[in-house]
Amino acid sequence: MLKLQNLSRRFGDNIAVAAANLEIPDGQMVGVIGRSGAGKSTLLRLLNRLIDPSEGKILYAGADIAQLTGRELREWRSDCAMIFQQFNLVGRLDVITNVLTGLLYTIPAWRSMTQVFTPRERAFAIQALDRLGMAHTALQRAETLSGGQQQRVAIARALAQEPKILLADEPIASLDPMNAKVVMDALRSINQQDGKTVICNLHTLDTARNYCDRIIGMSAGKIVFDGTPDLLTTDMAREIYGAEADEAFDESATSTALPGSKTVSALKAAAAHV
Amino acid sequence: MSMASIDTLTDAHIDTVRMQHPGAFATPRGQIRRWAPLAIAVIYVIVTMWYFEFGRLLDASERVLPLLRNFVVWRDMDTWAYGQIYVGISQTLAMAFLGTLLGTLGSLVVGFLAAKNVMPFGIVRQIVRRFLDILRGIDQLVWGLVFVRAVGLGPLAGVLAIFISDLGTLSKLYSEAIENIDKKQVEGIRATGAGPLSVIRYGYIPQVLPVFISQSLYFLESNTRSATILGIVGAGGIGMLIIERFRASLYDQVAFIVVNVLVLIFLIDWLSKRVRLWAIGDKTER
Amino acid sequence: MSDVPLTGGMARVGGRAPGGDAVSVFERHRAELRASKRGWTIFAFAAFAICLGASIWISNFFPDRLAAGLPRIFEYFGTVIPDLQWDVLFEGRAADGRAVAGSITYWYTDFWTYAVLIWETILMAMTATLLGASVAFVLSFPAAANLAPNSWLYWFSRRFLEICRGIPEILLALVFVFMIGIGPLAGVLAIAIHTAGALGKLFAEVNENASSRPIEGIAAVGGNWPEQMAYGVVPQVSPNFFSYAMLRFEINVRASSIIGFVGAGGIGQELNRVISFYSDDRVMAVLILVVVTVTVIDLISERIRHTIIGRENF
Repeated sequence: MLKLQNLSRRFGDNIAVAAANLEIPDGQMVGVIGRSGAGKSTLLRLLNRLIDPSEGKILYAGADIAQLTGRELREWRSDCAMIFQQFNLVGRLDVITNVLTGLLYTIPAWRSMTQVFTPRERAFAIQALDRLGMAHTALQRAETLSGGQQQRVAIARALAQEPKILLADEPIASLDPMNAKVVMDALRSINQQDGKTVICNLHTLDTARNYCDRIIGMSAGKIVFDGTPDLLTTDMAREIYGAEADEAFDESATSTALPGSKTVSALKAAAAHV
Repeated sequence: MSMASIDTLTDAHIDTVRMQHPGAFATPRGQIRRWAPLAIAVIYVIVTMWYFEFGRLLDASERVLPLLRNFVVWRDMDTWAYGQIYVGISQTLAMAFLGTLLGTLGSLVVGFLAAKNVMPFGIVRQIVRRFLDILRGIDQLVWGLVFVRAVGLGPLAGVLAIFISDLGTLSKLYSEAIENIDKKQVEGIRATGAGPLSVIRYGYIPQVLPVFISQSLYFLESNTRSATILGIVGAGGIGMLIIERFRASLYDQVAFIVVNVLVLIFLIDWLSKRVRLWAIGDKTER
Repeated sequence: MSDVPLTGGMARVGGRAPGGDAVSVFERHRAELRASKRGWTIFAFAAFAICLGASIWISNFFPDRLAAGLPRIFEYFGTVIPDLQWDVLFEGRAADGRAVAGSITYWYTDFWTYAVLIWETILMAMTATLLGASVAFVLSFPAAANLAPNSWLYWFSRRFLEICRGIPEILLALVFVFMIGIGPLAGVLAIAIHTAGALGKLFAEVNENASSRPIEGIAAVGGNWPEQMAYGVVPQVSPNFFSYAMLRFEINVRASSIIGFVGAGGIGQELNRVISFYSDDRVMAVLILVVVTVTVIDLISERIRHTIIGRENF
């Protein structure tokens, strides 16, 4: 159970996240929606402690995550994997080394600094890649892959961490619909088969409806909706999205809902690409 | 298809994965190839340091501390020849200024001779360029030493050394700036029926002048630094005082002079930055 | 052709009536602009003239001295040019071990002494570059504003690098010669310290331009600061680091060829000796060797840089 108590973050006069209170049970798949600048990204970064909270608590397994420092903080980060909109891979390293960085926390310093990995670690990284269908790219440089492939490598890196919680910050915002679907399916399967909590920022409403058990709506730093997808009415959604409503509802934009037969050739091209 | 945890991977499983993806596993040859450059560099440094008698640094350790203390503890400051020191510093400045000015004037001519779009005769251009290469290939300090032999100790040798080495470098930079100009403006002037010198005056100079000025100011900065050094071979300026004080073991005065020079260089950098902005801004306004 | 000026004149005549005001406004503006500029221009010229006058006076750069000095320069260059005879140019040594006057062998009697010193010069430059670059590498991470783990370490490493590159290497060499005696070690240490400062600044600038995304990615998996640097930054910046280090090596070959002037080893010691004590063809012999060495090293280093960087980008 991940519990947020009164969690806030200010940047100067700007309140990015205002007194968030949440309880997320283990194994849930949560979608966080809202217009850009609503504080979704800050909320996720607060959970992973890439950003320090201004006030409030993050409770997990009896510990206040917001107070962790040093080695304990790094342990938490390794338990709480993060997937980024821009993948944040090391472009000039090969794919397998990128996945192996997921193990950095568990590796002694001399081995991590000299990039010496055991056969067991390498086999594990290949296994993680294989699960995303990316094992064949193991020796390529990450920067030579397409966006969708890079995101799958990033998910493999997250899997290599063997995390308890998986955070995904707009994981499909930079991808085309075909790759977006592949990535969201992977996240869903990690949630359902491995029983890991997945918290996912999403810009489009239909993706959140299709994949998530629970939807949290944010607006101007505040949590304005928290419930199952069927409770999210159109009026509520309009309130969350404000002026961006039409874009968010436009299912052809960056959504995972595959359009009809007219773009079959485009789909085939995309499929051949992955 | 949930995956096995890293601790529960069996050796058999690892071997299967290794069979399927042999490249992803470390091989002895790969390891050697990865570590060889570093190992060679480390061994090289150790061997050369041994060859250069690194041990002498350790032997000198008891001399190091007193020497460093002499740099930091300033004694009898009222007896120091301040007049001489500041004359030396102003001499350094004068050398840098004159040397850069002469170098700039010389490069204005030579730069055009070495520019492909101005100099129609390839053979002249090639000769000029090779000549500039030789000027650049010999260090300023060597020029200083040569001119000390030729015209005697003193700032004249320093000015000539700065002039010659600047001529080599500035001319090259100038000629590159000239080659990179916008041809249309030159054609415009040529179309009015102007003679070759007028074409240079009105077609080339307005375009390249800001570049020339900023390059020359950069050189003024760096020449202030190098004019300090030129004195070490006897080519005038504060360097002569530095090495003289050094030989007389007056380390506190050496430190004082060096601090003064560093402040001066800092001031020149700042001033030249201001002048550069002013000069370039002025030119682009027109 | 005769009607062209006419049309031009017509156009001007046509434009004059409404434009009369515009011209006077323009002239007035121009006058104001000129007046405000004139002050500055006069000031700049006066300052320049004063600087020039003072410089000439202080450095004794008087025409008569110059006139007396210039012929001596040409005279001097005349004495250092070797007296080579074409018919004996490639003569080897005679049976009694003497070289024939006018041959290259005679000119380069001390060739092997020079060769050993040139070799030592190159070794000095390589060692100093490696030592300096390793210090620069380590300090470039705390000295980069975006990567420094805390402001104290940032401040300290910045100042340290500034001091290292602020002091001219030949001055450092002088100090080291006084400390540990004459020899290449003093030169290596001096050049290494200067290299650390110069490269450290450049490396830190490269680091500051590195993308923050991979670093954030490594932070997010639980990597500590050294791991964030090693995995997130180093792969991004290493090609640039390599280029800068090679360029510095070229500079250091030049530096180590003159650092012997103060007794800090290398060919500079011999160069200083032949220029200061002799004015004959030996000066030219050593100078040519130095120039050739520097040029060849530049060419090789450029080739290496292009091969490595080219392969990296491919």
